[in-house]
Amino acid sequence: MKGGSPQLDAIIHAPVRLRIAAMLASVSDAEFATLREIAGVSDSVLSKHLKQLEDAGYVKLHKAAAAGHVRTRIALTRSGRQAFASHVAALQELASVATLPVSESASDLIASRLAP
Amino acid sequence: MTTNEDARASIADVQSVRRELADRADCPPAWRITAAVLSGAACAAQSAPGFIALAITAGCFAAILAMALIARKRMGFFVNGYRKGNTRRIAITLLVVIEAVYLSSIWLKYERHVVWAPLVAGAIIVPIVLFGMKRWMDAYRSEFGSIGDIRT
Repeated sequence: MKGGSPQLDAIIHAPVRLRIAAMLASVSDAEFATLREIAGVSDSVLSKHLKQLEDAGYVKLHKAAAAGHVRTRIALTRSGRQAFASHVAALQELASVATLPVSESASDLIASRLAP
Repeated sequence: MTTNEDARASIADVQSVRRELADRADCPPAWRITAAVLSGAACAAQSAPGFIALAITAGCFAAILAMALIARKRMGFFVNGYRKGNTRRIAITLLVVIEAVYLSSIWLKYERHVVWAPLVAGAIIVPIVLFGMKRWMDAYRSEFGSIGDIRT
């Protein structure tokens, strides 16, 4: 995270992409099949979400031929890790807003934290 | 729109993914014992004459590498031993201790002519590696228990 307040990230915010990022943030890389199981989605849905993350520069895909079929390994990039950490920090801030004074509502925080 | 409840649900979702990872990241004791014995054997091999020592050491490292590749395929993901967090401190401490024991045994063998020193050092390294790997796994898995510990 680049100093200042943590930011919600519009790319990572989608539930499936959040699960993908959460998984990849804890490992060096993961195989496509493992990600699919943990994300609980089909191949095509996972591919679509990975493409969005890849276009944003958050993940890197590495394809390698092994035993007659292609294995795809996915890793979070440095900017992906920073975006995920910032997103989770913003979520934590939002989740704890109930304990703050009424004037600092969740919507105020969202408006000030949502990354462009 | 995201509300406090949505944020909490998202955090719970992240935690559930991390717990699932923790379950999958389990390293069976047999694997730890094998890796520790191979590490000890690589050190103990230095008691043997030059070429034999080199061959045994290369074999041990090749076996450790093969184990890492098999584990990666079995779990479906790979974790760098020197990743950020408490695990890095444990990994570096383990490396320093092992190197110290290993180099001491080499020094004893060549400077003091204690030919059996690498054998003893290898026997010492086995429990050290076992303990270090266990500590590393515990530290890695404990990081999944707290959402506030996101490592970048």
